[in-house]
Amino acid sequence: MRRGMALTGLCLVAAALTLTSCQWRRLTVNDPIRPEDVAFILPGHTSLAEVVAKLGAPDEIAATGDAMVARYRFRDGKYFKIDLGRLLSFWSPVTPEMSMARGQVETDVFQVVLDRRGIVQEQAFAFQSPATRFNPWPF
Amino acid sequence: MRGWGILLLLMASLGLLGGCAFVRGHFGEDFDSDAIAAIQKGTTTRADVAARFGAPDEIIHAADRDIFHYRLYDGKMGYLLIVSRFNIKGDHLYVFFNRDGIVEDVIYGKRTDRLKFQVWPFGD
Repeated sequence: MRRGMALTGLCLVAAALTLTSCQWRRLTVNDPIRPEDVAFILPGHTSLAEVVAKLGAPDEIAATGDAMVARYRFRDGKYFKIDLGRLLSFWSPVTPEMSMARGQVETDVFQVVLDRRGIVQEQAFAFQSPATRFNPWPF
Repeated sequence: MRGWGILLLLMASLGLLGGCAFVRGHFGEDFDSDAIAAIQKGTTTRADVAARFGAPDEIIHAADRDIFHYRLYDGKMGYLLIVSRFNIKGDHLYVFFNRDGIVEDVIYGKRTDRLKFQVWPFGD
């Protein structure tokens, strides 16, 4: 009984120590826009005012010939690091860094092409990055 | 025994406090909603807009119009020992002018009012 409790305690301490050597960091820029959020846009009918009412003001408006392009940008970045050298700091005067880390940033752009009257002509996701995840494996 | 428990809890709480941080970053000036509401389509001029909001961050020429673009970014970061989250959102004001320099349209979007301090990096 006592041995079981000691083993459980040891496992808990080991898990807590391992946790202190991990780092989870996240960066988000603007809210992501999903295909279902833009399903209301009908090329040839929807106006810029209607798009703005639903999605907010775009991050960028650019000229393209006689038309305009409105772009919405959003990013989601995840970073995970594990430094096993940190475990040594509890009993060693030297703490070498033994880290594995990986950061991934999902950068997506949603754009609408508008004619001179401000009516949507085309819409597209310029990038559709794969969803990011916390993963320390750098190879 | 109970005293020791409280002391341990207090020490753990202090340890956590030592490893936490809340950071805020602000780029650009807040938009005055009254000034935005005062922009009248068909009457307000380019000079009026520049006088109220200052020089724009960007001037775009598109579809025979000049567009003044003003930006504001706000960032909030919560940090607790091994986890942290940094959220950034931007507000944008676009003022469209016709060939005569008169306001034709105004687009304003505010996202920074929904910006939150978050520490937990998982989930949405």
